[in-house]
Amino acid sequence: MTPAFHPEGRLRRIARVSAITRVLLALGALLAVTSWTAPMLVEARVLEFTIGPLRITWDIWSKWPSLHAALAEIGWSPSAFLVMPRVLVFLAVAIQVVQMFGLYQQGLIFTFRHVLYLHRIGLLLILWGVILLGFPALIRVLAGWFAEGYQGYWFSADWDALFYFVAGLGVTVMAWVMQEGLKLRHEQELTV
Amino acid sequence: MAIRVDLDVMLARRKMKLNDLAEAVGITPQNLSILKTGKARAIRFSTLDAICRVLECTPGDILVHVPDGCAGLPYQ
Repeated sequence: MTPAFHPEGRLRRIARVSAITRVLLALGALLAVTSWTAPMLVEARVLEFTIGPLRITWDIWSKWPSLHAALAEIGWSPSAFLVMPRVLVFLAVAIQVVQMFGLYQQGLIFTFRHVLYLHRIGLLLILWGVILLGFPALIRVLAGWFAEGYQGYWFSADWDALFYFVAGLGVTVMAWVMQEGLKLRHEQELTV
Repeated sequence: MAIRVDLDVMLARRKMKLNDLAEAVGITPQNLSILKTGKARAIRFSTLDAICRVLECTPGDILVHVPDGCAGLPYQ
């Protein structure tokens, strides 16, 4: 058996763990998307999970109760408006991450495709932060167009939005740094 | 690139093949091919020293500075 400190051993270990991580990521993404979209079918506000003796209750509208009420009042589907953007961005990020780990599984650990995936993840996280920050304002503008005289929810200072925005910036910078590293490696490969 | 590598000229003069030179110098034929085809970005002094020793030449015999715009001109 090749020792873990041997290059081939290290790559094999990365490939094994990446394969497990991909499966867990895919299952986790499926579970998250199902849990977020399920309320859309029944317009439920509170979701409950029971896993054996463990019961988990999740009020998905706990952060935006007034927005939920405002959307329902003007006849719009709160779940469709607030869940679908989250689902779409989350799925997009999950796909990039799963594909990136797929490259690790193939033994490719430092390529320009990794930079591309990281860059996309960073941009998606920034986009999600912007959406979270500006969504209530957008809802109010749209409601103003379609529901005359609507004076509803205007702005929400959601700390999650700031976290996603900052995380997106961090990941984007990491992608740029990795790109510079790859250029240096390419230069090194062409040094005889 | 403003530096032209005339390695194939020296190989022809010494009647030596690329693979033989690579083995004598201690680098892979792929690496030497990168140098021969002009794709190399840099060359280590140790590699240049080894090539010159094997081909019995000076660096000027292998590396020629070509002003920009004249890279396609034949060897003189």
